[in-house]
This record gives sequence, C-alpha cells and structure tokens, in this order.
Amino acid sequence: MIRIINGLADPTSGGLRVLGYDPAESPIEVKSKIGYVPETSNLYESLSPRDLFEFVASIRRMDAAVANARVGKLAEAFDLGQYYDSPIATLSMGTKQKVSIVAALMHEPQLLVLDEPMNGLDAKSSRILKDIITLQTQRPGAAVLFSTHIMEVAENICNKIGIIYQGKLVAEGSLEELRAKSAAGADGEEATLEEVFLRLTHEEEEIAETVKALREAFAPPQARVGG
Amino acid sequence: MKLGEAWKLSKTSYVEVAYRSNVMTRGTARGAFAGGDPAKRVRSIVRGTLISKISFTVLVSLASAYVLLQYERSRTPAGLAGAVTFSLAIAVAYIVLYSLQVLPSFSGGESFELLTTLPLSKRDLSLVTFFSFARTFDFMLVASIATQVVVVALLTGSALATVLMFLAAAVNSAFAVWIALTFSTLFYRNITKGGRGKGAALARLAFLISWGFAALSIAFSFNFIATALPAIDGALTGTLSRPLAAEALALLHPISEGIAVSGAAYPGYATSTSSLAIVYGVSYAAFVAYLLLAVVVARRTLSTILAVAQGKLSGVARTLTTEFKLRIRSPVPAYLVKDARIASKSPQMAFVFALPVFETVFIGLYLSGFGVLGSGTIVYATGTGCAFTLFGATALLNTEGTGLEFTMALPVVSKTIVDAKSLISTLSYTPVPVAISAALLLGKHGTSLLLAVPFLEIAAVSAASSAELAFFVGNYKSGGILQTSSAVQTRGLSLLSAGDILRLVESLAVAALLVGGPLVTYAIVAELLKNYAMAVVLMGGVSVSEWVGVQLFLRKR
Repeated sequence: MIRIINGLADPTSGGLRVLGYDPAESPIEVKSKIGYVPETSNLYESLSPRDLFEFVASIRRMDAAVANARVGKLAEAFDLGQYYDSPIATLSMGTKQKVSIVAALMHEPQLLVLDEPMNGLDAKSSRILKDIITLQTQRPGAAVLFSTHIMEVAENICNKIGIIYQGKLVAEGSLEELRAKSAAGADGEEATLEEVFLRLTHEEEEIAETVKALREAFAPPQARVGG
Repeated sequence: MKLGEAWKLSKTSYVEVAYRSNVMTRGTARGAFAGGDPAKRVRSIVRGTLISKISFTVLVSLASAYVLLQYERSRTPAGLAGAVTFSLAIAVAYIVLYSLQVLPSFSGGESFELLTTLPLSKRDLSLVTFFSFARTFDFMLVASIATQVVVVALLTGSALATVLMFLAAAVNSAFAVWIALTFSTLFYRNITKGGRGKGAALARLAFLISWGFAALSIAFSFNFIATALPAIDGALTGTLSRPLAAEALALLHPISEGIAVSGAAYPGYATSTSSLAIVYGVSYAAFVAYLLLAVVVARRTLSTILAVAQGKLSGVARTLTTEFKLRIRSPVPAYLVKDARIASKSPQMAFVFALPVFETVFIGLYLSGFGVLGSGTIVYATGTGCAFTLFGATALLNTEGTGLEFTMALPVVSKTIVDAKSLISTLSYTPVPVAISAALLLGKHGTSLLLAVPFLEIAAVSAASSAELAFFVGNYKSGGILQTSSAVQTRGLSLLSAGDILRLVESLAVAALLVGGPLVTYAIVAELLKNYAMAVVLMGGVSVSEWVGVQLFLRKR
C-alpha cells in the first residue's frame, strides 16, 4: 500500500489519489510533494550522507540556501556530524535510518510517509522525530502517514489510526472510536491500543496459548516433571 | 572443532561473502526493479556465484590445456617454454578476474560477524574464515593445477618436468590468490575510507584507474603474452639480438617457470651450449626464488585471513564535521556526480575510468605503427575508440544497485538518468580524438581534414550511448521496456537472464549502427568521391542528426 502511495508500485485493482494526483499517472507530481522513509533504508551505500543529501536536494531542485539551512539543522539534531562524510555502508542501522529521515524531510514535504521510522533509532532521535511529526501535523495542509508495529508509538502520536491485519483494513478511527468498536476496556479501565488491536484481530486467545506453551518450554526440568 | 565441521560451517559464511560482494560491487538492481523479493534475489545471486565459479573453472582448465597443447605443433624446447608460460599467465588472469567478483566484501569481515557471537574459540573462528576463503577458489585451483600437470605429463613423459609443472602451477596459484586478496583489502579500504578532501578523492581515482587498467590488461593478456612468445622463442634459440635479453626474460615470472619446465623435458638441449646453459641456469635460480616468494606470499595471505577473522581490518575512522554545506546542482549534473562518486568506489566500475587511459594507449600504439595516416586508419582507430565506449555505457547502470529503490521515490524522470549516464559514457570517449589528433599532428597524414573525424563522432557516440541506455531505462508513463508504470525503471546487468542478454545484444546493435553511420558515410564519400571536405560535412551532418533524433525520441517516449 505504501509503495503504491509513493508511486513505486501499481495497484492490482482499484486506485487512489494522493494530494489530488493519481500516483500511477502523475508519479513526479506525487513524489515532489512526498517525503518517504521506507522500512528498510535502500540508500546508495558508497555515498556519504553529504553526497546523498546533495543528490536529493539537487533532484528536488531545492534552493541552495534553504537546503543548507534545513539539512544543517536536521544533521545537527540527529547527531550526524561524525558520520557526515563517511560512506553510508559503514554506518549503523540507526544512523542509516537518520540519514533516510533527513533526506525525506529536507524539502518540507506536504505528506510525510513513514514506514517503521523508529527502527534502530536511539531515544533522543526517536523523541526528535516524534516532535517533528507533531510539528508536521500542525502545518496547514500537511499530513503524516505513519506505519508501525509498535502500538505505544501509534497511540502517543497518531490522531487517526487504521488497523491492517493480514492485508485488510479491519478498523479505522481515533483511539476512542477504536476502543468503542472493540469494546476493549469495557470494565472501566482505558484500554491501550495494543489491547484494542488484539481484540479487533482476535489474537488474544492465540497469544495466551502461545505464552502458556513458552512457559512450559522454558520451565526448569523439575517443575516440568512435577507439573 | 574438527576440520570437517569447520569446512561445513564455512559454507554459510562463504555464501554470505559472495552475496555481500555481489551487492557491494554490482548491486542488486534487478531485485529492486522487480519489486524486490529478497529471498529470490539471494538465491539468484548464490546460484549465479556457483555458475560463475564453474564457468571460470571450465574456462581456465580448457584455456590452460589448449595453450599447452599448442606445444604439439612445434615439439621444441622453446615451444614448450612458451606454452607453459602462456598457460600460467592465463590461469592467474582468470583466477584474479573471478575473484574481483567474489572477494570484495571478504576483508570487511561482516560476513563473519554472526560467527563471532557463537561459542567458537579463536582457532575455530580462524579455521572457518580460512575455509570460507578457500571455498572461493577450491575446485578452480585444483582443476587448473591438475590440468596443467596432467597435460605436461602426457606431452613430455618426463617425471621431472611434471613435478616442476606442479610446483610452477602451485607458485602461480599462490600469487593469484595473494593478488586477489590484496585487491579485496584495498577495495574495502577504499570503500570505508570516505573523506571529502581532494586528496582522498584523487587517491580513490588513482586506485580505481590502476585497478581498472590492471583488470583490462589481464583481460587483454592473451595479446600481451602472444607478443612475448617470439621473445621466449628467441631466448631459447639464441636469436635474440640484444645482449642479456634472454637472461633477463628467464628472470621473469612466469617465463622462468616455462623455461625451467622446458629444461627438465629437454635436459640435453639445456646444456648444449654455454649461453643456453646460462639462460636455463638463470631460470632455475629464478624458479627457486619464486618458490620462496610464494611461501612468503602464502604466509601473508594467511595472516591477512587471520586478521579478517579477528576483525582487525574492519576499523572505520571517523572525523567530526561541523560544516554541513551542500552543493546544489541541476538534476542531470547531480545525477552524473552521483554516478561518478559511486563508480569511483566500485571495482566493477573501475574500467569506466580506466577506459580513457586504455583507449589512449591502445590508439597511440596502433597509430604509431603507420608511416602515413590515411582515412581508413583514422576511421578504424575512431571506430575502435567508439567500441570501447559502448561497452562502458550499460555498465554504468550498475551504479544504481540497491539505491535504485531510493531514487525511485524521488521526482526524477528517466531522461535525466539516460542523459547523465550518456554524458559519462561520452566523456570516456574524449581521449580518442585527443590521441588521434596528437598522432596526426606528430606524424605524416593524408589530409588535415582527418582531424575532424574523431571530433565529429562525439555527437554519434552520445546518441549511441543514450540509445543503448534507453533499452534499459524505461518510460514511466507508457510502461517502458519493463512493463511497469513505476517512476524510474532501470535494470542492472549483474544477473543476466536470457531476456537481459537479448536486450543487451539489441542495444549494442543499435549503438553500433549509430556510431557506424557517420564513419561509414565518411569512408564512402572520401574513398569513392575523393572529396574529403564533403565527406567531413556529411559525416558531421549524420552524426548531429543522429544525436537530435535520439534526443527527440527520448523526449517523446
């Protein structure tokens, strides 16, 4: 789905419009307005972050002063100083992710598409990214599409959540709406998004059984014999 | 850990080394274009590595045997010496060429990182690393040595000659493996060094040019060795005119081994005259020296492998940057700079940089053999320069690698990619007119109008490069060659399917027509009408028309 939104793949059926454009028909227009952080950073490994940012800013025809100001601030924020001129191949997964994030943010995209953006990030960078996401959502006409398996992150920063299970959208709405739909937390306590997710996808029982099996597998031998 | 266990375990890290090397040097472009099924991609690369190893093994064995069998024609000591020399040179060339594909990631040690987390002793780890390295060459070396030894035994029937052939092949293999590992280590350092300074960039370029030049020279070693054969013959028949030339030849590897094997097969001939005895004596002494050197080289190879196992080569130096300034360019120059930067760190791309050097040397040597330079010679030299360039154009597609997925998410049109790569390809042609002009200005020539021929060809080379690349870089609007509407579709040539090969042949045929058009026009008008001015004008017209035509085609697609 994310690849289709970004004009990287074609839908097998149906269609969609992004910021008024069909990505299959007008990929250049869509890509000009999107900043995309993929789940796996497929960057040019032999380039340095500086080389890559130069390339991206040039392809996006950015004004030099604007590009320098933004990239400078972002690189400082994400502590890229000591990696700025090192080949990307030599960077850790988290640093590669930071490079990917800076490359996606530098042109101040109208739509920011983030696929598991917290992968490998340290606590400071995660926090900065969350703040950037919040700032992005406050800009008029701007939006963030955020894909994650970490429910706590989605719960904290998303105002509209879609739950996709086995390739199908099973629920969509604000956290409150999803709670109501799943009837989770009906006992008075506020259900977390994780509980909502498990209830909506009917995975609670399966998890209970899995945990039970794991307990038995890892139990000390005596306990197993005695049990 | 038992040796068998270590050998078994080493298969995993060997496969990882081969996979990473493939990704490092050629990228996994095909997988990225296909939408990326990682499992399929890995399987394909691993299978490709095995096929490549088998192919090279067959090739090195057949070539070695074929060259040695040439001795049958003459049945002379010089014939045997030449055949052994040639056979050894071919073996080392193919082994090094093969290793350029498989070994580049070895020195980084990443393929062994998982092993370090397992409860393995330092000795076990070193053993597994050594076996992983050995798997790169295993049956290729065995087949190459065995072929040479068996063929020499059958041809000469001499036990001593057979033993010497075995030793010579072993020495040769030790050198080949050492060269391969040294290239791998240098490549790894080149990749991980980084740095923005001009010194670092120049050092990388110098390294790449020398690497590419070496690779090209190895590929053309048949020609070089072929030219050395008469000298070997002269050394062993006493017909070399220069004093001490025969002794000097006998000192060189692998000529010394060739002469020594021949001396063992023809002991009477080796001592028939005092001058021949000296030549053979020198070759035996040099052979012993090379044996000792091979031991030193083997120990060095081993210590490098142990250093890899202990992670001693994988250190990466970092320098803190406080200045984050970027240099913004237009899209085509930006794409060109990006490609040039990637190519400057890839051994597979090295020959793109070495091409200008090689073209200049080749054309310079070719033209120096003529007394008066006429139309035919200049057209042939220009055409040869074009041919070199055309083989480099599609190789530039491999600069994309896995990064293509990243570029596909950017607003870049396919024409930008074609234009940038075509420009690099055309730039690699520019030494051709320079070399031809120099030859024309320094030597005698028919008409000064000949100077224009290689320059007018530049537009045709650009058109041919663009057309060639257009076969692989599709159109995002109409689906293009790859039948998908994804924004940018390019396909690397790292994993050639039948379709890829067909497309490559088609693209080369079209490119050859485009570069050939202006040259044929010139040749026909110049030779038939003897009107050189008209020939030049028409050639220029065809060349520029081709360029305009290809540009219009690319715009319309």
